Amino acid sequence: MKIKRRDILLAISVIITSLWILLPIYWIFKTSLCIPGKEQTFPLEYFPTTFYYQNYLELPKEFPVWMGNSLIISSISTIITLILAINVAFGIVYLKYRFCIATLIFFLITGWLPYIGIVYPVFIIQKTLNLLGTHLGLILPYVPLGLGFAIWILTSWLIGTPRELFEAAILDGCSPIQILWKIYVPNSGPGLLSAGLLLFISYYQEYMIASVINPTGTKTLMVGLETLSLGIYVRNWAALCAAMIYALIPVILIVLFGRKWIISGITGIVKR
Amino acid sequence: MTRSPLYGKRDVMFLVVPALTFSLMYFLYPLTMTFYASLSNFNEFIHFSATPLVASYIIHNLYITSVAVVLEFFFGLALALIAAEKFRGSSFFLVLIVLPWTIPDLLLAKTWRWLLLPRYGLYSQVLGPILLDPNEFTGAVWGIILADFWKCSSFIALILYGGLLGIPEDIVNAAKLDGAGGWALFRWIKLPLLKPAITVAILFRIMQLMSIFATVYFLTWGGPGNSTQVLSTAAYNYFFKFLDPLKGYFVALINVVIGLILSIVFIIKIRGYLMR
Repeated sequence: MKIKRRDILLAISVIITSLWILLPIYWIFKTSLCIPGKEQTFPLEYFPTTFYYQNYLELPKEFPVWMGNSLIISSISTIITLILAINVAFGIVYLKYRFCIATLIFFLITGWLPYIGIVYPVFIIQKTLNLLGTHLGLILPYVPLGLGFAIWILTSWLIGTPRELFEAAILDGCSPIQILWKIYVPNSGPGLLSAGLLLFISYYQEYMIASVINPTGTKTLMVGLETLSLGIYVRNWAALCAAMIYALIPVILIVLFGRKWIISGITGIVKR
Repeated sequence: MTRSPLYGKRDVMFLVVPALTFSLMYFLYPLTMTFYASLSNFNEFIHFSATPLVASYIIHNLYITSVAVVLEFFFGLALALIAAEKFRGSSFFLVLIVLPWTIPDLLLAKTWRWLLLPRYGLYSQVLGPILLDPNEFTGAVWGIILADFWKCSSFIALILYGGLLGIPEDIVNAAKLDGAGGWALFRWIKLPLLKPAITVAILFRIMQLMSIFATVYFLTWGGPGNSTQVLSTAAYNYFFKFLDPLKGYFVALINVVIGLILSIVFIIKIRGYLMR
């Protein structure tokens, strides 16, 4: 009998926590189907009474451009960060040079400090280099911000890879860089994927630096959404919610198809 | 430390220098500028830091951090324990746990602004009598905590879930054979073995919460008044709204120093893993 009570308790807790997690997202979706100006009801309507899908069609015409900017900037930053990070992580784990722990600590701390400490100087640097309002202007400062986290995940991944391969290849006269790119990178799919997905998510959601470097010109989606919610959407929650659902699509796709790698990335931090 | 003679300094340079160049140019150099700008006006910096306004930013940061970390820890632990049970649909439940943590902060804040909207928001109508007025300090702060709680419990849950999966099954089975029930198993076997994961999760969350920005900025704009202004939103406002970079540097430096101290504590705590 004891087992049965346990099952019921488990079922109840699963249902309650699932509701708690899903409710805000459902509510955004529900609001996005309301007629603009009619989204605030009293008493509450828990289910959509209207199906005003025009909210999804009447987006401002810059919206796809912002989405494109965000996807381009996030993916390029992710790729550059991954390439640099796997090099450093490989050096730390396999070459074990004198300052390898110091290197690791340096990069970890760069990933942990608050962005506010660098945002204004970065703005000045990009202004002098004339990079404000460009994709490159945002990619360059993004890369070091992601390096810490990427190196963290990739070192934990590389520690779990077989060392014998490295030693055998070194004796055959390969250089460490050749070994990394010919043997370890092709076999590090899962590690690179978990680091890459987490990096993409963090670049995609970054607001502070994006709002400063690209306030106009190549706006990212987050900056664009903010200007919308201050501008034409100021009281129009229905349309804003529709825009937010669009902005959630990349993230939800990543979670649905990349759950395995995201979880192994985050849990890998502890395992090592 | 032994170094194999088959590779040398050049290989290390080749691997590390490209990344280091990026970090020096776009991280260390800007950080030095922040330090330099504040410390070259040291008297002003001390004077400004001692004002009650700056103290209030730090207090708001500490308030949000301490409350949110405690709540997120207990809920995250619960989520992790549920997820570690094998039941039908447990893989779907894992998707649900991952989902909040991937929601961008800006969308999170807008969503919760809508949910907590006075009178018309979902939660204000359902929880009306319990919920505090968001136009007052406590209400606004609890709105921020609630939003962060919704998102970041997931992070703690995932780390603890990884820790739970790492507990060897023999130990659990042995304890069961010795007659350990559910609670004893949790208290005396799982919790002690989870300790490293708990340390990482909590310290990491403290670091993130002390530099919280977008959630606060878009949920309350630091308001009402300045009553929920935290260090990073205040510095951002000084830099780009009031166009007073010097004060911005001062506040940013305080935030960076707090972050540095926490990072060092964190490094010391996890050095066992790092040195391996």
